[in-house]
Amino acid sequence: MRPQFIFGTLVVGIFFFSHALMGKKDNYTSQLSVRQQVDSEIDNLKKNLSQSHPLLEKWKFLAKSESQIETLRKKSPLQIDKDEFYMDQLALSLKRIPRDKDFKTENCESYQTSILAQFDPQSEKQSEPISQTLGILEILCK
Amino acid sequence: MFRLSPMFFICFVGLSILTAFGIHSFTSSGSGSKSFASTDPLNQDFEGARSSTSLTIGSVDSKNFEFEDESQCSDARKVYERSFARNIPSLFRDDRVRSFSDFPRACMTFILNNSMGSGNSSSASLAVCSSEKSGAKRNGSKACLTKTYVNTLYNYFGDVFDCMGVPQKEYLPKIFNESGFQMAAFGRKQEAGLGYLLSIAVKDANNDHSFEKFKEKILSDAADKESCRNISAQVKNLAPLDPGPAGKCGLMVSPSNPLLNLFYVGVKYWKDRGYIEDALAQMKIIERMSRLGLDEDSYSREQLYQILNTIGFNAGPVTAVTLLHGYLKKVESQGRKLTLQDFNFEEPDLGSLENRKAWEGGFAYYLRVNQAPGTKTYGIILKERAQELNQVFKEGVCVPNSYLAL
Repeated sequence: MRPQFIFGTLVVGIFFFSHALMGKKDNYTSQLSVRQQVDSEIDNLKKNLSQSHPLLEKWKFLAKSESQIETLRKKSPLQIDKDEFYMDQLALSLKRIPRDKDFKTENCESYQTSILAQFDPQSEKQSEPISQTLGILEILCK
Repeated sequence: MFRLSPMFFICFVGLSILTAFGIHSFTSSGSGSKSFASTDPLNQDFEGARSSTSLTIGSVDSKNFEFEDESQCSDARKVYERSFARNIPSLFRDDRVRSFSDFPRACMTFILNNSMGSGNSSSASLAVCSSEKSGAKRNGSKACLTKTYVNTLYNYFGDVFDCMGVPQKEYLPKIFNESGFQMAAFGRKQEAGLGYLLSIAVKDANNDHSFEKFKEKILSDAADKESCRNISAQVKNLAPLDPGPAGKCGLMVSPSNPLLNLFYVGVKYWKDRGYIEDALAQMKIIERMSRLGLDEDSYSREQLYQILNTIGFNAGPVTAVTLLHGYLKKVESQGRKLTLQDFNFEEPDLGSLENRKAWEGGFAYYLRVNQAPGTKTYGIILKERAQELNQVFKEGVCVPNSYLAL
């Protein structure tokens, strides 16, 4: 093999290796993907809840999605502030939905009021995570 | 045979790394992502959110503390004055020997004289209501600042807040920035009356029988507390309002107000306090602050609560805690210690690089970048309002000494 070829390959290799190492500092691509995975989990949850299951099954779907989101976030590195905030608000507001025997469809309006009062009192242009949670609440209340 | 000297090899490797670094820096800077320390794209937002004031501190005119004579005011400005004279007991209208306000009346007179414009002109930020159930129309007039109007507000404010255990001075910068103690204050998002109450706050206060529970509490506390006794006869007749547009005037017109509006502020205070305390426990905020070097010996938990409550007026009480949670994660990832300086809302002179660095690493700046929903600079604006009051009065007179600081 020609030395020029070996040398050229080496230079290109070092270049890409160095660039990849520096790129690790800002996980922009992977950061977005964690939030996308969370959103995809929420979409699946909405689909599952929309199908006609008994309420007991719906609580299982909700708990499973919450647990999967928690696991995904635990094994992922810290995301950019905006995404961390989005996922925190989503997880916290979901937890405000009463479960099992505490959930009564006749109280749905007051659940919605309480979530908005805690997370988005101005609700002029509803924030994304709260909009997701209220969407799930709406399905549960149908 | 072609041979490479070791020096030539080292130079090439070094050059490759430098080239890669250069390209990486170039592509990163062009990505458009906002780093925590970036300021330029945000300055516009910051300036735009700052509410303007024509107040000149340092040469405070005595007119700022004067009452108006009823004869100088237009009829539209005398609506409250006339209603108070007919319907409000003299216990509230007259000077009192014993007031339950923990700040001097001059703080209120100053705020009334320095907000919502002046004189007989109308304002879109003030409502016109013909009755409790009428729809609120805009372009109302500022109330005539007679001694009776100021006394009535001052005495009700002191009684309701003292009776319900709500800290009074903590609210003055917010009121200075928003309603300016105008009972007909009507914000862009239909925030109504003295407490600038949003529909959702009224709806939440009506939830879970909270309204009735707080009414009962006031009536039962009346046996031991004079402030509760003063308002108990009127509290008995209070009824929950329609939180929608039809109920807005119910938060502004007399004689149910100022009592009803202030009562709702009190209910909201305690509901928000519960939400914040639950969220602090859920996110283990106190323990994490302690692990980061700020244990409870070095700050007051009550003070932390008041900071979050103030941010929560605008962002929502749990959102305020989520934002602190996010800030702590950032500090944890930086591997540094948390100090009291992290909770400084007073913008320093940013001419010094050291000041700028400290400011941009703090919680107030984090909010400025990340707070959503609400106004990103809300805390900074209220701190400025507090400083305006502190420059006119001695620090601690109208605003608590440690307002928006740990």
